[in-house]
Amino acid sequence: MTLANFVPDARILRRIDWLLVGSALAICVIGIAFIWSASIRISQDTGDWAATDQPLRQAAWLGLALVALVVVIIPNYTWLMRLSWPLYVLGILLLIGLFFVPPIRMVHRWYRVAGVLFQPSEYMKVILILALSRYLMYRENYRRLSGLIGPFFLAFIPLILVVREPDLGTAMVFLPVLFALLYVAGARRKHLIAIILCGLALLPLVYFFVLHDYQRERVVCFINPSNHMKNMYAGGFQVMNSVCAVGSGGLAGKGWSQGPQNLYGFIPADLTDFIFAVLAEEWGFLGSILLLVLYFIIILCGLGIARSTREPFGRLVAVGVVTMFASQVVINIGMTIQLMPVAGLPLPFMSYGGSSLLSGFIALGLLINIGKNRVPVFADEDFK
Amino acid sequence: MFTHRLKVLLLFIAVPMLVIAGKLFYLQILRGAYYRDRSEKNIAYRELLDTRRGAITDRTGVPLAVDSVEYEVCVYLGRLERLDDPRAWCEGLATLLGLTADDVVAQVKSVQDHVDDLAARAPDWRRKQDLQYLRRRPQPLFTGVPTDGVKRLELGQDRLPKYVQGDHAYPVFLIRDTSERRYPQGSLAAHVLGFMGPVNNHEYNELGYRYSYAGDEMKKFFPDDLIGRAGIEERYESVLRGARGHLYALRDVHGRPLPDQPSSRDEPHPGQDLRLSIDSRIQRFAEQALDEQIARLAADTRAGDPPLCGAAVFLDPSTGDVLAAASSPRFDPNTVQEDYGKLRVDPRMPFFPRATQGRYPVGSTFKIVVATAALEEGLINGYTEFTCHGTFPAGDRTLKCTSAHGTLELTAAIEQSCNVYFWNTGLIVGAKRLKTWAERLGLGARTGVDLSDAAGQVPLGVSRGDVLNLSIGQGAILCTPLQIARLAGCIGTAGKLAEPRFSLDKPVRVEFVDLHPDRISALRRGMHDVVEGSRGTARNTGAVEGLVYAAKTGTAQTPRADIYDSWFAGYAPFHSPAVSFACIIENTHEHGGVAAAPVVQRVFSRMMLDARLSKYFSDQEEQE
Repeated sequence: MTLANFVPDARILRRIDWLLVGSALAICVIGIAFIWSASIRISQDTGDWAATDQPLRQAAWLGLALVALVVVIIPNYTWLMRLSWPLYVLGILLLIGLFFVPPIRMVHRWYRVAGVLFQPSEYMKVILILALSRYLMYRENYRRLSGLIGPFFLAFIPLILVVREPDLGTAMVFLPVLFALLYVAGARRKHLIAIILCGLALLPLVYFFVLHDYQRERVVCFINPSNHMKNMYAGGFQVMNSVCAVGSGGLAGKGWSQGPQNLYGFIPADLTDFIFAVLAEEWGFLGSILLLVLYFIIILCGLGIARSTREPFGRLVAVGVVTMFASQVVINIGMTIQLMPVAGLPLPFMSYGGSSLLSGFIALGLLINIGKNRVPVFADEDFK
Repeated sequence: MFTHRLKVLLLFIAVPMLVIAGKLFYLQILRGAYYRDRSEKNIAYRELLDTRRGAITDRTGVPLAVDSVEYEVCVYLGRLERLDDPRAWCEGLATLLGLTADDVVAQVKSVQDHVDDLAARAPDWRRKQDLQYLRRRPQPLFTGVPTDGVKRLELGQDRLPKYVQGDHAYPVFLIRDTSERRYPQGSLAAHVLGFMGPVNNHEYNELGYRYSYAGDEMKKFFPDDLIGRAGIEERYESVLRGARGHLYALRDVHGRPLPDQPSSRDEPHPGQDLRLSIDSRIQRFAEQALDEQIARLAADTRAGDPPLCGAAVFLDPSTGDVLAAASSPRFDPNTVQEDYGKLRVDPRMPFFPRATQGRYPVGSTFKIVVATAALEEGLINGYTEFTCHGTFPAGDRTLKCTSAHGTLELTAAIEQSCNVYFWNTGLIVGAKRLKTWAERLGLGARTGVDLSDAAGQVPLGVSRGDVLNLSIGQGAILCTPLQIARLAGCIGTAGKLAEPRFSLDKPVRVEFVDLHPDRISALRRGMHDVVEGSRGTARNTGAVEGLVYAAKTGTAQTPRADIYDSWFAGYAPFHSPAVSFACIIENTHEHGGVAAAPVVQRVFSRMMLDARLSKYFSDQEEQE
């Protein structure tokens, strides 16, 4: 690692994928707007409607996240290759350490550092991408079946820790990232299919020994929504209200900060996991599609960067980051509109929460960093 | 290969996102209207405002049925247990309610046990949630709290510790209105008033009371609502039943009202009060006299006798006002829910409103009808004589009179209730005219009273035997006490046949039967002599000091030879009838003059002693 790695270069600005940054920032701005809307409640002091300070805090986090973005963009990403293993070990230790501090809101999900909540699992997602990419950049590691055992260990250690926190939603992101990286890195198709079949066979074990009672109930509730009474207790009430909010938005929505489902508190966890329902209610179908398009732009840009990067570590990291964003978006919105069981996880760049925003921008920074170092590709197959 | 696999990956991302877009299209565009409607319903909050049922009073304003005002203090167990010092709360509540802290603590404990017990009955998967639910709901702690206790509690509630969560402070108790229907006079006029019972499934679903009642949506029923089950409560349900009010407001998910949101109220409309024609004092006299008489007669009953029961009806013949309608035995509408099982299987049938629905053979009381028919048709007059040797030939049988009365005119025949005289008269009148006149005088058809009553029946005699039977009120003829009281009033007023009424709001409807006072004067004199004459069938048992009245006894045979349904019916005073009456004692060994007349005698005696009631008789005389 030379000093040159850290010296900013004016030409850097021209090589940044501004469409990518712009989309992410647009989502952030929309996010803060809807955090504002979602935080409007009746103040107990004045008896009047008022927003809380949460949108401002989110804006502050956004400032911090932008700083992190710049810090991540400036050096060449390749130095992270060497940091992958130490970071992975640190991440695992932090996740284990969670069980040794008193639970916050009855779960082992956060550290409280100077009054601010710090959620290691959000960073672990990025760290896992780095570690997996570091491992899979070597051909011999993924062409043999025995070589695939490593990535599974890498992914499943944090996954099980996160499930036990419990935080099923975040853990659910680890699997698509693992499989996308294995697939894109070039693992044999028959190996992957065999693994997926094994995974399906193991699902009952996971269901009975890894999941918590309430998580099992949610799965049952999703599979068999006819048992209404039971569903009320298993998140069915949340989903019912969230679907109602989304549907009532109609084509153009009820207007920002005008959605009664939101204002009167019918959307559960409206600042965090269900922020999409607030947007869908107040901006309607058009706003929802706009948001999906913005996410899709990020995904396309990310995959474009991966495609035009020859260096194996970088392109795998890019694929990992894209998969992480995409799976979070699909799982989060899918659960909001009852396409999936309820599993709390944040919508990238939208949901209220510092750790999520910060880790999102770090991941975005990695993507941009990889993108700025790419060279035009003349032949797709020249690095096979 | 890498690029190809990237494309496949893109496919794996794009397809789920398209599915999401599709579901959004379905929810927001195709089903948007449905969800918009549902979201509005989510927020709209409609609170029902309770109302009161109309009171029922007698004609002088004495309350017969009222809604009591009572409250219930409920406790939120979940909040109480999270207080820093639950004991302090109990002490505070005890002070406000005037109890000791230990009482409150013990009561709270019993509520906790009750809740645990309820939750223990839930299925496994729901038990924990049920317990949580029950502890979040207000549970009744003290019932029957009077108004002043509630006021003290409301004023002093800030002194009690509250459960604080976030920036909210929630009270630990809740006051609920638990008003009930009460019948302050106990069993008085129980059959007239009826009682309340929960609305049943058929009424709720099939008859649509869940949507509206009596065309009023606000009067609709809820599953726990009570509905009038008999008597006035049932008949005037739509009048007595109040319309609930509504409070419309917008509430958040916790049910808290929102500021500066329009809220509107539909005020509840209490049910209308109802004033009955019943005079509670006469009603009480009648019930007491009836009960006393039945008790006295019960001393003579033998094992295996059917139960002694009875009824007495007192009417104002010119308006149809039912002044008293007593039935024995009775029930107490206040405790009918608890006593129902016992009352239902009682062989005396305490629920049966004998005064209006009891159908009895009338016996000699029917001679009034025979005499009226014969006189009005001009078939006999007051001087027509028949001779009674104590027997009467009827085909191959010989009918017996009560004794050999000798040669009689009508007046004496009524006075002594001579059967032979009326067998002769009945044969002259004939089956058709007997039936016509019975019906003209209001028998054999429902009276039109504003309670359910029985029609009874008047047979058309086809054989000579039938006519003979009917002439003395035996055979297939059945009448209710109400019909007979009305009939007596019609004779007394010379033709006024008023539709009986229990509610003073029901318009007076009087039919005029073409009777001429001169033509029926012999009959009236005979009825006068029943009480006042030297040989009257009720001369010893009916006479009232200071009151001259007319009546006719009746002793109808029942399937058992020594058991009679005994009647006493007439009108008072003799010269200007203000009250007509009918009294029946079922299943007695005594004839009408002994069994039934004392009831009326006692009622009239007590009325004469009562300053207000004696005017019923005197006012009329002054008018003349």
